[in-house]
Order: sequence, then C-alpha cells, then structure tokens
Amino acid sequence: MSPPDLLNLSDVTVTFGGGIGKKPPFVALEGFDLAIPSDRAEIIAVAGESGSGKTTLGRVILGMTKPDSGSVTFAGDDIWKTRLVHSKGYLRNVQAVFQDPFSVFNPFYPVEHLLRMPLKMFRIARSRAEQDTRITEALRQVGLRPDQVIGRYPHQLSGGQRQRIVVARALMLRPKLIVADEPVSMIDASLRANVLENLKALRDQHGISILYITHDLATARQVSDRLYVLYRGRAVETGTAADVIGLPKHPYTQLLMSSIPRPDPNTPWPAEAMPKSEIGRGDRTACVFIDRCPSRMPQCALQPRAFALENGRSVACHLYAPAPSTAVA
Amino acid sequence: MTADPVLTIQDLSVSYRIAGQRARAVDGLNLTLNAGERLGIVGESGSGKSTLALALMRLHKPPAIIDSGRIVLGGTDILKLDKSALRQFRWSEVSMIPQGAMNALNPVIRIRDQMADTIRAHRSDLSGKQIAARIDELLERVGLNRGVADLYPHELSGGMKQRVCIALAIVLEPKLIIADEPTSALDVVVQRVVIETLKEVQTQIGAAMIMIGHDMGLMAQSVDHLAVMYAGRLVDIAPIRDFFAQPLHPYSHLLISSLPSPDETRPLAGIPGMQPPLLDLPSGCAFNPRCPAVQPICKKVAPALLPSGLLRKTACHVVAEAHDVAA
Repeated sequence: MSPPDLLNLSDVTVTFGGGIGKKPPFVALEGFDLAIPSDRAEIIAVAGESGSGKTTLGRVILGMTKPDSGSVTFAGDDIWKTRLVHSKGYLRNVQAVFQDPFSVFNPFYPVEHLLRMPLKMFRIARSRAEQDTRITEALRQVGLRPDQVIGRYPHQLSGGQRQRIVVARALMLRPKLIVADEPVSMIDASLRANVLENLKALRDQHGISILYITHDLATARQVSDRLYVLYRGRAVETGTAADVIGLPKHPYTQLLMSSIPRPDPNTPWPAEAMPKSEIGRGDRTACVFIDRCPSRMPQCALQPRAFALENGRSVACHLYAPAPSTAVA
Repeated sequence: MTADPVLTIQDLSVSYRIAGQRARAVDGLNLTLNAGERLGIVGESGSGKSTLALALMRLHKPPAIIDSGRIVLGGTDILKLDKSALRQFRWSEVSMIPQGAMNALNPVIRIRDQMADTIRAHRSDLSGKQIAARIDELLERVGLNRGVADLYPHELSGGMKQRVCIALAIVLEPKLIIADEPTSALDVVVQRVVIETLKEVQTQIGAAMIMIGHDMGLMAQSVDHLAVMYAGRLVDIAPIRDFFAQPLHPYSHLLISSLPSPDETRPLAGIPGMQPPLLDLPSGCAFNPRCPAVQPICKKVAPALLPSGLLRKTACHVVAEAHDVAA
C-alpha cells in the first residue's frame, strides 16, 4: 500500500454565522476534497474570486479554522481528533506566506530577530553560529544578500524583499507544506517573477509542496502543477494547471479565462459573457453558478457532483455528465 | 474643429521634503490630454504616479510640495486658485476614483445620502426632487438597480461599491476623471464589468480620463495612450497599439516581456534590480543600472523626453540615436 497522503481533506465543509432565528449560515467551503501526496512535491493552485472560499481553505489547512464537517488528516493522522493541530510540530511542518508583506512584520525588530526567533522556538539550531549559518543560507536561497538585509528594519525594505524574507523564514524551518495566500498580489509585477521562482525552487530543490492561493490564472499557469477552481465554496473544476487553463471546461472557468485582460490592444475582451448585474447568493440546492451561467439547463436546479474526466480532471457541471440517467448524483 | 487640450501639464515638479532633503517624486513632467481621451500611466510603486494624481487635484499634503510648473484644466490654472475656488473646482471640473475607493464610502450612511451630499455641496440650485432623480439616473448609468440607493455600503459587493464610486465621480460631469488603480482589489470578472462601465460613462460625458495602474493587460484594454513613469520622470509615451507593437524604451520592453501569460507556459522573467531610492538616484539616466542596452553616455547624461515617432516620445539615448539615424 502506498504511504498515506501528506495532507488529505475529505468532504470538508465550513460555514459562518447562522443559528436559530438568524439568517441561514454563509457557506464558505462545501464538500471539499484535496489530496497532497507525500511521495512527491507539488504546487497546487487554488483560484477563484473574492468570497469563493480560497482563504478559508488556507485557514483550514493551517489549522486556524476547524471545519464543521469532514476530515483533515496530516500523514494519516486526523489533525483535530489527535490534537496534532495544537502541537508545535504541525506549525513547523505547515508554514504560511500571507498576502501582505507589509503587515506581517513587527516594525520594532530588525530582520535578524524575525529570522532567529523561529529557530530558537522550534529548537532547530541551538548555537548562535549554527543559527547564523541557517539564516544566511536561507536568505541566499531566495536571492537576497544577507549583509544587506539582516540588520535592516521592515520599513527599509521593498515589498518584494519582505515577501522573500517571509519565504526564507518558511524555508529555514524545512516544512513539508507551505500555504501561500496571494503571495505576489501586492508586489510590483517586475518583482513577482522572483518570488514565484523562489516558490518553484522550494518545490524542486527542497521537496516542499505549496498550496498557491491566487486569483491570477496567468501566474497559476506558470508555476503550478494542479489547479482547483473555486466558486462560492465549491471546487467547480480541477485538473492539471495546463489542462484546466489551456482548455477550460466549466462555464465559470471559461468566464474567468475570457475576462483576463490580454496585454494586446488588438485582442479585445470577447463579447459580454455575463449579465451586468451581480446576483445575490441563492439557495444551495441548485448549482452554485446557475445565476450567471450562459448554458443553464433544467437539471441545474440540482447541484451537480464532480464528474471525472481524463487525466485526473474533474468538472462539477451537468454538461459533462457521462449519461443523462446519472445526471442526478 | 479646435483641438485645444482639456488638460495641459507644464514642467510639473513635486517633491517630498524629508529631513532637510528633497525627494523629487514628480520631476519636470509635461503632458497634454484632449477631451474624451484616455491616458494610462504605469510604473512601479514609488515611481510617482499616485503623487502626480494627487497633485492634479492639489490634494497632495505636506511633506509633498509642488516646486514648479503649471496645471491648466479647461483654461483654469489650478495652481493659482484660492481655497474656496479650489473647493468648487474639485469634483465639478476634475474628479477622482482613488485606490481602494470602495472602502472610502461611509459605512453608516445610505448610498442615497452620500450621493446627495456631493450634489448639494456643488449645486445648491437643485431641489430635493431633482437630486433624487439625478441619483436614480446615475445609478442606472453605471448598471446598478435604483434600489441600491437605499442600501448601506456593507450590503453591496466590491464591484457594486466600485460602481457607486464611479457614479459619484461623474455626478457633476467633470472634464477630467482620475482613476487610481480603480480595480486593484477586484477579481477579473468584476474588473471587466467595472472597467467597461467606467469607459462607457466617461465616453458619454465626454470627459478625459487618466488611469493609473500597473496591470499592463488592463491598460491594453482600457486606454488610448500609455505613459510610463520611472523614478519620478516620464520616460515613454505612445499610442497604445504602437506601444505594444513596438515598445521603444528598454524599460517598457521589460514591462511587457515580464508579464506572465495565461495562454502559454514560458519561463517567468522579472526585471532585474530595483528602482533606485529617490534620494539616491544614479547619475545620468535613472534606469541605467537595470538597463540591458546601457551605453557609456547613459551613466553621465540624463536623457530628455524627445519625439520618437508619430505621437510618441521617449527618454532614452539609445532610442534617440536610432531615431536620429532614421530621420
């Protein structure tokens, strides 16, 4: 038997609010499955609009949000049942890189302090010399010159430099998995490539898997192996990044791809594919995309299950049901 | 037909005074803009694009100071207006959709009252009924339901809030709309709706527009001319099609080639190096330490912004030389 997955999410649902006499709860994530293998490192992109549940997914994996139902296992252990989530070991193995490199730093401490702290806390390097070696090594790996950044304060660094320091910090701890939530959205386009290259290097040289949460399909295509497209808490399409972005099947993925402004004045946005009004959240028995879907059909009144296609791809849309009789899952 | 520009900026310099030193965030900038025209301004953070936008409305605050120059909009020299004239001038002649504008809506006041407030401040002649009718009309123009007027900001999605801000910007039909990263917090689907709404209303009222941002793809879909700022200076300006078909300034070239493509997989290419700090600019061309085409002269003499084609101007020694040879 193959070893258990590094991380496995099975039928995970997260809701917020609700209760007796209140509005129905807001469903942030529904019936979500994800398996990150332990035998190879992968970059898995999670794409979707704001409110689609991408950040909630990141928080579930980091153990910051407990799912209402479903299980989260790490190397075969349920992180909530075994209380693994409360251990330092889990924190060390699953690291985070957040969106805003300007707010994650304590402005009163120089970079050196920020990097030395986790080494002490996790008892990774005891002697100062050993700590120094680790710190300089990690900074070099993300393309920073240690002597130029180590004594500086956060406000003296650019966004790209800060984000690379966060990546270096994660790298020093040798985690198994990094959750990177929009790591480059606040960085200038010219510096994005550097940070993304750093993430790829973590996968290729250090065997670290990365969950890359983003709304930018262009960068997802460039760095990731697999892609999950989320819409209103559901994975509507999954598969290899090249397949899904190269030939999107779900109407929502198609809408996303056609909405990306191409850097070519001679390739204008294609004709309007959606009504201008943004529709409020309807009930959840129907397909989550029904309000905006151009190919709406009667059977869309029932939520489609994820239909498996070739090459590990799956699409939650009745258009891809194998035969009419199986349309209702 | 006269082609009098609606906006003329002459030799504008804005600097921040910090610890006895002067950081030139906008350095000797010249621009003209005709009615109905859309100009995009791109540049890295710190290149001076937002400072320029604020200075155009004289909304810059100390330590920023306008050192010199003239800003003429519709015949009025903005820098000469006194306080009360400036108050009337802002919003009625030039309006702004600032970065993260949707977060600027007052959370405890209904959309209707926020819009009415703006109209009343400038048009004391309108009755309550007329104002109400105007609000309905404006909301419809930006593709929102009239009922939105009676909602609070938190009841709207990001895209809807941003469209309310567009409605507010055109409330007095200004001659110029400045949009500073109008869609930076929105996803691509909503971004497209917002940009198309903005273009539509801007065309309807015949205003000129300056759109500031760093998304080259969005610029390609939105503006007629594109200007590039680097370390406070305008280094390249061209009609949008020419800009993408044949970028002239080496920095413009890198800006285009560093874009990740959704349509093909190819190695990511960044722009090497960093923008220099304004207080410590290299001698000569500010871009020379990062420039792949750098020449000895670039380290000594700062290049002037010179014509480099039809309606094009570029500040680069290499481009100027090639253009001279060709001419």
